[in-house]
Amino acid sequence: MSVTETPIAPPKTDKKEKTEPRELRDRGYVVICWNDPVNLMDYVTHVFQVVFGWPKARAERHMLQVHQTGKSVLTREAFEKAEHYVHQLQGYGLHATMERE
Amino acid sequence: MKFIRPQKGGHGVAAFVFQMNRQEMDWLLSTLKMYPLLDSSYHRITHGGAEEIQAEQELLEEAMAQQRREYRRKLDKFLASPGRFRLEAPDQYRLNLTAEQLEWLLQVLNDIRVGCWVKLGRPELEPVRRRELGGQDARHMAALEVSGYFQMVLLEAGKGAGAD
Repeated sequence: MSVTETPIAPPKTDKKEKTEPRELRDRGYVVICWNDPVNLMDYVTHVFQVVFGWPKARAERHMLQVHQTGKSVLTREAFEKAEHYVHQLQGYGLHATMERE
Repeated sequence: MKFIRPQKGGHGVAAFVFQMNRQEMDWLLSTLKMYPLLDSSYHRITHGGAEEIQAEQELLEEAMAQQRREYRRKLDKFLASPGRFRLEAPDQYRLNLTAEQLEWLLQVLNDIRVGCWVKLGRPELEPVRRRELGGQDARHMAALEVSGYFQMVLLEAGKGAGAD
């Protein structure tokens, strides 16, 4: 006699509910600035200095990386901080995004 | 428009003094009146538009809309201020800015510059679409250049004042 196993239904989860908050959100997000043909190079340098408090040389290095390679990873942060930086950079009109690493 | 000098304003607030002629003042004013030009939907929180952070995308758009309302309010107050552009000599006007005003004016001018670029079809980024120029195109082309010009003057002033 075979025993038929009753399949165990997985617990119902609301897709919108963030079921893996810590695991995913602490994994690390990168803040990326993408190149565009409209923002002035000096302006981008200035924004990096203001938003991150970087010295001019570091801000210029990232600006040039954006300009020459199309993007630059500006910082790696937890979700909330990455989101904060993206808001600030976007507030300045830069094309900045956060991506899961 | 040229940067004259940084000076200490009241309560130790750094002030930036600029000089410009009537033509430049008219350009600056007509350009600033275009603000805001960018739509909140221009801002994307991720490059690929991942669905799981839709809520954060909406939050970003709300934050940008709120910032534009705030800057529009500041700009209206700024432009309405009597004596904002002081006539010093024939065809010579003086404009004083605090460091805080210089910073948000830079953002306002950049919004206009990027907004013009978007309205012109994002040239140099998206494939050129053959179309008749017309409507507001000439105005947007001019404002794109003019806003960039004033941005450069403000940025140079910031450098000159040792802002970096």
